[in-house]
Amino acid sequence: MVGQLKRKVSWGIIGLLLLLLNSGLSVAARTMPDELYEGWARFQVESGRYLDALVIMDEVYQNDQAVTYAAALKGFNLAATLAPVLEALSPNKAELSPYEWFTLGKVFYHSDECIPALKSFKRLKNRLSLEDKQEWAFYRANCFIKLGSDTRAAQVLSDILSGQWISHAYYNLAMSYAAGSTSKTKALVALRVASSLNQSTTLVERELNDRVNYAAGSLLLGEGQPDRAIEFFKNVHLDSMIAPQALYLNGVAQLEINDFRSATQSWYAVKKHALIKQGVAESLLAIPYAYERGGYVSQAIESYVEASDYFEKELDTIAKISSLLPKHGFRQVLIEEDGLEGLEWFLTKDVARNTIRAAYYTYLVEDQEIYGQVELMEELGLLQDSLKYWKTQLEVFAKSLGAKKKSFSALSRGFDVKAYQRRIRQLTGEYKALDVPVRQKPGMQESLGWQRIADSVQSLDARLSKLLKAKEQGKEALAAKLKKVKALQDSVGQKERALSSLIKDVDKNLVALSSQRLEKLRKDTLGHFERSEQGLIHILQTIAESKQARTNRLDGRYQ
Amino acid sequence: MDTRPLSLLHAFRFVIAILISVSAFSAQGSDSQEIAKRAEQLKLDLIELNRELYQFEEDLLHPANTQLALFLSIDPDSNFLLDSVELRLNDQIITTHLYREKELAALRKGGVQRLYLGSLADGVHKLSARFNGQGSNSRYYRRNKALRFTKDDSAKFIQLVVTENDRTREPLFKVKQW
Repeated sequence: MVGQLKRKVSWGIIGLLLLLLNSGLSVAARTMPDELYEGWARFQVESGRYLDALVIMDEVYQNDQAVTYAAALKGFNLAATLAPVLEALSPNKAELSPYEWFTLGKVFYHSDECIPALKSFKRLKNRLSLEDKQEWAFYRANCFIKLGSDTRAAQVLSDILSGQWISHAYYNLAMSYAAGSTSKTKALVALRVASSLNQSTTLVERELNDRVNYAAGSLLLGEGQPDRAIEFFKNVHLDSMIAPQALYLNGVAQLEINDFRSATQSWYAVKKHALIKQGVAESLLAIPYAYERGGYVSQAIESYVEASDYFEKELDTIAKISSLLPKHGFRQVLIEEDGLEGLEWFLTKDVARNTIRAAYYTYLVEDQEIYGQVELMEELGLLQDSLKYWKTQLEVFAKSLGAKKKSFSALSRGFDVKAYQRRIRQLTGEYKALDVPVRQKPGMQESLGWQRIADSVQSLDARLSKLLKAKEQGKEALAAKLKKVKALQDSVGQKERALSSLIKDVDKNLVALSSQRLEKLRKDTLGHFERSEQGLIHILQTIAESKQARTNRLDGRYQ
Repeated sequence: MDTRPLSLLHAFRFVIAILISVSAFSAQGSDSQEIAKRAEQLKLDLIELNRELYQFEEDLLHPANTQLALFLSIDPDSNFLLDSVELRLNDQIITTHLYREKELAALRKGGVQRLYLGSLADGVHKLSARFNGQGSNSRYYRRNKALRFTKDDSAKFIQLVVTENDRTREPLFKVKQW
């Protein structure tokens, strides 16, 4: 009896109709508890998913959690929208939690506003864990450096002597000392502290250590202490970003102490790097110079010829990229998969196919304006991906809703209200007939779960009324949903076109900016080529004018 | 003629080049500024459109009366290094996640990760979570946490909280139903 009752009241159609009735079209108010919602938004910001963060931050959130909102705006480079938010969050006006003061300070710092950044950081004094204190000191020290006060920066760092943040800060302080003072002692001391705080275990730490060693070596070389400089250059790893420069200067230092052989060895090691990297062209020119100075004239001639050949090839490469950029665009030539006709030069020389391309890409993005435009291109690419996703989703929704609308019409037509009313009356009657005997037998109500059955029977009328209402509204609801899908598809299409147009313009701008930078590179490379040729002429001229006996030459191949 | 390429000035040029960590951004050209203006407006429009689309999708696929959302947070004082988490609903895997360093830092700063959003019928269900990671005592842990919960006709929010025993420093996994 119980099973029969349960079966009779479980109508599949109810589920579909009630689902339709419950899923309203209007943008629902936030149903999630505030604590979860705010934590969720914070997670997106702190994980660096700024676009996702901004999408989930509604207007209420933007007002209530203005600092996290500001951090997301800064992260997604929405400077004009960020400005009034920061204005309202001026450190003199706001009342914030320690997390918010810290975040706000960092947002100001990254917006190049060091004074409000320092004011925000000041509100955190004695309210931080040791780990956070290191990061806090790093930002404060950098602010003082940017504001031109190395002394204040040193004071900030003086009482925290641990951690990677502080190691980086000391490195920055050393660079500031080096740029601003004729005495390099302070810079060298700061570099020593930076090095002592660096564990050199992670890749970032190792790269910093390489930079510290390179900087120390450069400073000592500038101070006329090549022997001490060499000790630092030796510590730079060969796979470091800074290796070509370090190898070049190591060669210079070796030559200063008249170790011609070590100097040329160091410069030969640079040759395996892309010519576009700093230090490589200089090394190519340094090799023949050193040979000439050591009296090895024929090797000098060979090296000049080889250098000229390198420079000529590089000039060809520059010309090739310069001609391909306007034709194919920045993205296709330097970022996307290769395979363009005329780009075979990327495949030569190296096992790693993109070595040269990566070198050119790195060279170009060293320019801050190009970097900014490439960053924008990345962000627009993210938005483009999101639109592609939604385009597919909306197509699926449209198909699914269309099919639902069809099946709904069929179900509605087959929905016999009178038959259901008859069945409800019949079931109610059966229930009532059984109710008295069941209640009279002790324990039977409990064993049958009679109360639940009573509740189910009593709710049948209400459920049927609800169902009828859903039947009337369902078709309209589905039509409205389909209309909404169509409207969203139109919006997505429109924004997709606007986005494509903007991406094209960013690419054009990148081509223009890159062409300017490549032109400068071409001139520099041409200068190197000319110096190489002049060096060669100089040697040949000297040989021609020489009155010494040919046998005095150390190598007779060119005599 | 001097072909000497090795002026020590080169050294200082490099030193200046590595000052990038404290250097200010250079001024942008007019084309870049114009593009930046257009990009800002378009980005805002697209954020708004994305927001509308997410809301529509949620209403359509996971309406409030069937919605189940699962979250994870880490107590800021906990030193547990969460490697991965695996969630099962009624013995079926619904999601897994492998943590990056940045995500762990975000969780420690009070972030709450939404691990799963789906639809579920009314009634009693079983949720189980498997946590893998390293405790502050350097031991590696694999722990399961199970929960039986009842889904009614309103949205259900469940938060998994990773915390630590103050005394033993062993990781603890708690569940909070909202």
